[in-house]
Amino acid sequence: MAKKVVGQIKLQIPAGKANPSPPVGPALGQHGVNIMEFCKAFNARTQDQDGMIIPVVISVYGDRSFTFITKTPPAAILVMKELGLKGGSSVPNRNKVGKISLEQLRKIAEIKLPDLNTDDVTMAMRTVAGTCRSMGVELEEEL
Amino acid sequence: MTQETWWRLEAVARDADVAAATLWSAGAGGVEIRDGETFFEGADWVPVPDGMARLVAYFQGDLSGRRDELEAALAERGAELIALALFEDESWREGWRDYFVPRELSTRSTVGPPWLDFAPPEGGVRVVIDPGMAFGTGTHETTRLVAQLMDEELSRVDDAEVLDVGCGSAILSILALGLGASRAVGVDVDGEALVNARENVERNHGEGAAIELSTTPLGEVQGTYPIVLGNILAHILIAISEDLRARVSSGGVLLLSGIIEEKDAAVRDAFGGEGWTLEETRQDGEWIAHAWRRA
Repeated sequence: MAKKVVGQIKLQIPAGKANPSPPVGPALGQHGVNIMEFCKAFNARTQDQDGMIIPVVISVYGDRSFTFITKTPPAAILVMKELGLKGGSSVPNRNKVGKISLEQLRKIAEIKLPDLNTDDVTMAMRTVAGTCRSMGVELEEEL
Repeated sequence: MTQETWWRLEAVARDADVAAATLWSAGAGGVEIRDGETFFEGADWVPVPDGMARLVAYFQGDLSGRRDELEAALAERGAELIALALFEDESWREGWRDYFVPRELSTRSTVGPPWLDFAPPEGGVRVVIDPGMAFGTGTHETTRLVAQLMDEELSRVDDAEVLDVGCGSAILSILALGLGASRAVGVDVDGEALVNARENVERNHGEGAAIELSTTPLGEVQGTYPIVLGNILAHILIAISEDLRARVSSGGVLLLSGIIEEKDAAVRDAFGGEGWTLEETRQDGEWIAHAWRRA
């Protein structure tokens, strides 16, 4: 019989750098999950993506064993990295913090594709473009 | 692990990723996202409206003077700061203990916590571990794989000396002595882990046990050993491969664990070569362990 899932937790953690400090410790420890085991498994799986923020979805079972899936880095983080931004605009509608080319948009959309509900790169580019707008990043050309 | 000061920020946002990116830019050390897909039975999580997400972010250092700045930055992205306070709850450090129950570590051993009474397998040994915040409860595949390989090796050789690299809670050193090794030397870069490891050694083998634990860098460890253990992670094993191999005596065995499936080939490349034979590989789930024999 399949084990019963008693919890699902979403975290964003730097690749290869999970440790027992917050947020991993409090998010998992308070529910009885062995924090160190998660850290070891997460770091093993993500250490090749050093410098990236990795979203992870952890399923916890009744005996407090767990499985997890890692996702592609958040689009907002990829946009910031691609454009060398420290953050988005504090007033995204008025103050623009940068411009992104269609080529850069495509690059990010291709990275995000496995996590988006489509295999159409243009659709994925539209999703990423939405993130750009909410960050105060302008598109050099309209899609 | 040292105790650190953390601040906990809670916010509600429509676009969790954009709000999280704001928090990362502001110096967050990590973010938890609670939305319509997340849950935990019995947890008193405050529900979020449909399409919204609650973000829980943690920051190191003093945030007492940054509330306005963070509130404004979040607000401009359609997110609302709900709470910002010093995070003083330590209860999470102990929560997993309720689920640490005795289990087989290797054919001849059972591992369990000090707060439970448990028996070893017939003719085998009992390993009592209070792991604290150190790696090594014996419940992880990587530890069990290398424990089993060592168990088998120690059944073939008498009075072996064991070098345990990345010893963590000292679980493998303790097991080694229990299974007949004459001495174990454990090294770990985490000095905090060793405080807990020493307590574990005393708990299992008493004061004066032939287990030496230190933060000595592997490159400075003297001598060679018939059994060398490396239960770390593949990329670290590869980085220290030369030092690990140098510590194995002629005819001795190097037992490597912590190798995730996709790193198997890279580890084979790093440790193969003249004078070395990959005697055995074991797999449990996505984790692999190697037994390399030196000529």
